[in-house]
Amino acid sequence: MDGYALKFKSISPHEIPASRLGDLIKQYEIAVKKEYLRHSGKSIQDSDLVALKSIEANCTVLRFIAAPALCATAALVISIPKPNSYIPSNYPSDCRRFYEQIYDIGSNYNTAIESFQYSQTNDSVIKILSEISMEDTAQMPSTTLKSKKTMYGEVIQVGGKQPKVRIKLDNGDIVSCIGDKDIVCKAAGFLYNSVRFSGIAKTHFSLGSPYIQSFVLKDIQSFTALPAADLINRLKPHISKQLDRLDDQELYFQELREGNE
Amino acid sequence: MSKKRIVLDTNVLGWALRDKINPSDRAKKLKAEKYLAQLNREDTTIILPTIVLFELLSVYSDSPQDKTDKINFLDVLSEWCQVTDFDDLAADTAANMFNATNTGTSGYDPAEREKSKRKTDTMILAQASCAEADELITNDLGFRKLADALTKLNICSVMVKDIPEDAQMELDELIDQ
Repeated sequence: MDGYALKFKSISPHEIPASRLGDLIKQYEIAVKKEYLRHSGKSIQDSDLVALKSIEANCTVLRFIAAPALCATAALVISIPKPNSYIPSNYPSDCRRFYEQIYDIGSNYNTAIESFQYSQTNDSVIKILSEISMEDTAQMPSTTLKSKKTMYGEVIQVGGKQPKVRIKLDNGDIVSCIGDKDIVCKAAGFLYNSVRFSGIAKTHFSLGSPYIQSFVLKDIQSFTALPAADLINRLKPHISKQLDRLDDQELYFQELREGNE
Repeated sequence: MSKKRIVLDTNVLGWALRDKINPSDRAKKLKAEKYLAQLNREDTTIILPTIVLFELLSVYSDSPQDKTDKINFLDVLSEWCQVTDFDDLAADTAANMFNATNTGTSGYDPAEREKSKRKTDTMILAQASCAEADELITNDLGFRKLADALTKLNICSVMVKDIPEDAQMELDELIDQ
């Protein structure tokens, strides 16, 4: 037994975009790699886990071949927990993201899901690892929350048919913003420059790490961060007197955190 | 390659921002100042979590002069420093971190640190984490231990470290320590 599979029982392979399956395959690989590293302290090669998509009558099956050392981790990660299994507290973030994607597909396409172990030499010999019903997928909680956010990045693209702005954050992530024409025209003036921008974000919360689903741009300004010592030199004239009044600065801030009277 | 993103804890900023040197603080202040000068050479970005900002702002009184100073201080920040909000993402991250240190099942003994301190630690750490900071610099050993436990649990990716020692530190400064 050295193959593992994920079966979406009633999705025809033509119904589901390849990119969505690609994301799921990638997330499974990430979760297995992280879990293996966490338990063994060792990294694995890309070739240790190979993904294959197989087309079967009216269902979509993703198959994975794992190197012998990886089998236990590969089986553990692909055993999908039920919604009542305290997923947020019992599973690490990369596994949660993987399960979130599986449940999302299950819910969007109204399908039951199964994961199983199979023999590479004989596909028909299988051992069911988990079964998720349509009722289970309906129970998985997820929500979006609207809130005001301020972020920093570089404007990399403006305009198109719709008034849109794409901003690259310092970590490389890209936030796609929509906004009215005035704000988008203002953003155009900052193309390829660093900005501070704020607006209303819709953040998606479910099993995995929350992420920003959409962003309505409300304000954008040019921004340049000063190097540390230069920043301190500019701030100092406006706070040094107040800090100098503290006899014991360390004790003052410590007491502020202790919350004692 | 993107710039290294650094969060400085309140005391580190406080030492760098004050003029008065207490004998007991002298070495810490020098260390903080030297470290900031080193950061200038390394081309880093400073991230200021709003929880740290709150602690700094608490030193202002209600006097007209203090109010003016506070506005000028905020004005410099708004123009030149990345201030990171405590928003819904940070709240969710902080709650996960706090719970992981609160149950005792994670390997971290909650008795090691008061609940209110752990609350503030995890709020700052969550803001640093959501802002994708690389490092958080604090002189607080308890904070560093808590962050270590969260890193082992794979919940925190920010390296929490003491102010690095400066190999170039003058001999008389070392003697003063």
